[in-house]
Amino acid sequence: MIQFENVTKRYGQRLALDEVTFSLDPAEMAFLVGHSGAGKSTLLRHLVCLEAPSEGRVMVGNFDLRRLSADQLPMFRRKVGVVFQDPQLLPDRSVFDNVALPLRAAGFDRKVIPGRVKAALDQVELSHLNGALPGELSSGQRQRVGIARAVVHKPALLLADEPTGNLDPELSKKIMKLFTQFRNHGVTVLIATHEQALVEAQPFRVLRLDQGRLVESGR
Amino acid sequence: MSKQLHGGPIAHAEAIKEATRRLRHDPVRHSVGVLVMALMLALPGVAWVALRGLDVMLPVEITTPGLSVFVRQDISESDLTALADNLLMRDEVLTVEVVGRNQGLEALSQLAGLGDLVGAFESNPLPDVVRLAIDALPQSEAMQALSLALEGDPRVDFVRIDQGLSNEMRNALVLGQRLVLVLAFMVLAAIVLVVTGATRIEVTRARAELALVDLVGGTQRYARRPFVYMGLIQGAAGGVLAAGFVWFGAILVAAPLSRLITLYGESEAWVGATPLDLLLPVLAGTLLGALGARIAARVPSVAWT
Repeated sequence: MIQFENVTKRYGQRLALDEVTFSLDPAEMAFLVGHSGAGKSTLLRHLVCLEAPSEGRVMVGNFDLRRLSADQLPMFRRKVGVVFQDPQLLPDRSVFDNVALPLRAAGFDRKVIPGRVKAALDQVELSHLNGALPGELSSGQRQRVGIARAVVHKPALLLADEPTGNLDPELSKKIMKLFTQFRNHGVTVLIATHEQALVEAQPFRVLRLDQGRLVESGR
Repeated sequence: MSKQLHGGPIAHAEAIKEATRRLRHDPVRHSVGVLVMALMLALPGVAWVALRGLDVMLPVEITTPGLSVFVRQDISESDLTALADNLLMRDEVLTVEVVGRNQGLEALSQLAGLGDLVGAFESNPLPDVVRLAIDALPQSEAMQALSLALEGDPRVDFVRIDQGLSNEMRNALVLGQRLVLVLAFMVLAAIVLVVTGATRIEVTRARAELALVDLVGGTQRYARRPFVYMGLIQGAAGGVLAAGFVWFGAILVAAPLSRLITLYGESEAWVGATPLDLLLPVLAGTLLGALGARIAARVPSVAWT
């Protein structure tokens, strides 16, 4: 599903990624770990074409991300879901509208949207908060709304950047359980985190970055 | 992908809904923007309508500078014709028109308020007049020389140099119309800039949302469309308001212009603001609003942090 081939990323003299090579199979779940500044976010940003490698190649599915045209880029991004540490919900839109955003952006039929949104909110157990504004939710609920938004369009790849960074351990476990469920439904999941305890509690593969170099790629 | 729509009326309806939602979000700011646009659009519109009123007002008979040669009352008609023929042969004379004394009286009686006065005369007090259009400026030596020469003619009572007032005014009017066009062009350019600036502010405010739209696979067109509709709606609203100002402005100048027109003896009616005068600001506002917004609503890809 994901192939990083000798990917190097430089910002001027600074090396953010240093000849990173790894691959993830479809429906595989993995953690991307490392200290702050190790290159986790940079790596994830490559996977949604927010960054281009200075050297090397990134493949996602059949897409060679270097060769995506401007027209292909939105089509590619519709196959990816992204969860942020701060869920970045739109404060003046309801939970429903926030979750529906990727469907509307992708031009889904209006009749399809309510069902899809309800299904996504059911998955995170928040369908009863359909009409609430983000300001009325707890941080855990907001994060789950962010996850619902990331999966509402049924992506093949789910990326999460420190998704439990602001949550207590109990909520973190719930969120991890959700990611595992998505993986069980065939979604490839890559989670960037620096929470070692969380990673150790899961049976999934670990990709460890240290100063831009991939120093571990296994369980 | 079969259940996805990438354009068409539904996508545009959604964009319009989103545009109106954004406009409602800050109604005072957007209303002020609409008002500014309306005033800018109305300014050249009202000036144009008023200038057209002046155009109607100007007499059409005297179009070039010339001489009015007032012939002595005891001159026979054959002498008058001979005088006119002689004058027409001169190089500097463009046209010769003989205005008979009866014709002059008739014209005088048609001027507002003078009909009764003319009727009080027992006989026609007016002389025959030979009106010459001259290919020279009123102040020129050629004009002065011809005037002096004619004053020495025994058939002539006196000579008046017509300053070509109508012509000068018409030239001033053409200049005014050009200035209004220049003003209109500047105003239209300013409207595009105003809308561009306002839309850019709106885009900047929506940066976080647009970053998300970009990240979840929204196209540039999808992200841009509501902003273009915002500009279009504001431009159309400004245009409608401007049409109202033009209509109202035309009503305000109607009475004094009509009085002026009557004083100048013109019978051609001034129609005020025409439907085209009212339609133009609406069309201009709508198009320029959409254009300004279209220029500004280039939505950049925004990286997540």
